[in-house]
Amino acid sequence: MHYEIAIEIIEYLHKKFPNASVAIAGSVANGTHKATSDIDLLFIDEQINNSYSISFKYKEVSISIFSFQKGIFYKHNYAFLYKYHNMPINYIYNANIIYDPQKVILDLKSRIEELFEKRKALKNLLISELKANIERLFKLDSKSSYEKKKKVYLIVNDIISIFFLRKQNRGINNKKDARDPFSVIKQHDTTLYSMLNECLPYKCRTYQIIKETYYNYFSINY
Amino acid sequence: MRDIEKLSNLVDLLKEESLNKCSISTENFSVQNLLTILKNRKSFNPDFFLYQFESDLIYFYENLKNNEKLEPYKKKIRKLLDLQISDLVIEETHVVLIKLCNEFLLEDSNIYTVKRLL
Repeated sequence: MHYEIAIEIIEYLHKKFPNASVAIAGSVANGTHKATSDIDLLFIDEQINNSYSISFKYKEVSISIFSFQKGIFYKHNYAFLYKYHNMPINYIYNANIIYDPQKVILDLKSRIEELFEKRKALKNLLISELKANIERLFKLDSKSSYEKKKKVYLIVNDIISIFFLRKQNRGINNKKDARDPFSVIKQHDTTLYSMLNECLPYKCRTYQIIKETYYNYFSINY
Repeated sequence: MRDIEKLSNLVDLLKEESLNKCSISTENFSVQNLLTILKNRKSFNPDFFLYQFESDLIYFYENLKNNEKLEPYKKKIRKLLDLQISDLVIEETHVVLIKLCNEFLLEDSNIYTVKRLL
């Protein structure tokens, strides 16, 4: 049922927007969908200046159209180098192209591959920058518990990004790993996992634990 | 609306001007994400769910900072963020988010939900 609906919508979009690029993404593209899964479509029309996500129900199935404008790729290019949760990179890279008359999706895929190569080549530099950011955050004076909590969560996010750069530098993480990076950490580094588990979510001793973890273990091993 | 009409209306929607006009606010987008996280709690690592939810709640709160219309809700969320997160705090947060949605955010019931990605 999902395939029939996907094809129906894709053909309709192609008929109405013959110059636009259309691809199928997500679980329907890789064949792992369930009856309750969304149909994810990638749509690129150069007449649309911004990126949008459009959701609706069609024949009782949830449809999600990601109308992408490549400017967002260049705008966040720098952030994509660091991030372990790399939507929309993951989404576009794994999408199966159905129509691409101007070779826009193909071009984006090749730029994403370049980004992966850059991420690998610049790995040590990116890690140094993230570490410098963590150390800057440790030096910031935070008076309220909310400010401390916010700071700790930024530090944890940078620690996870460094972990993925160092241990999982394949350039792209699937949706499951991005949603649950901790299970990936557990597979590679049980010490780090236990430390993060001990200090999260934020409680009164968290700041001290994360600081000790960073200086006595993490900055040495990563 | 019949399914065939949904497709023909989609053609009118897939234009910059219409998409921009129909986009929900960033606040609405963030609240929906938070409610989705709560709904899909089972798909998260249980050891870190509270951290992940609170982390997204901080992001939401930071985005609310300049929205005067939502001032009473900002105060409520800030109070919740000052506490140590627990299942009880999550329950209270859920109630606040639902009220926020009902009162301010989900004023329309369009067939299409359009989010502008920044």
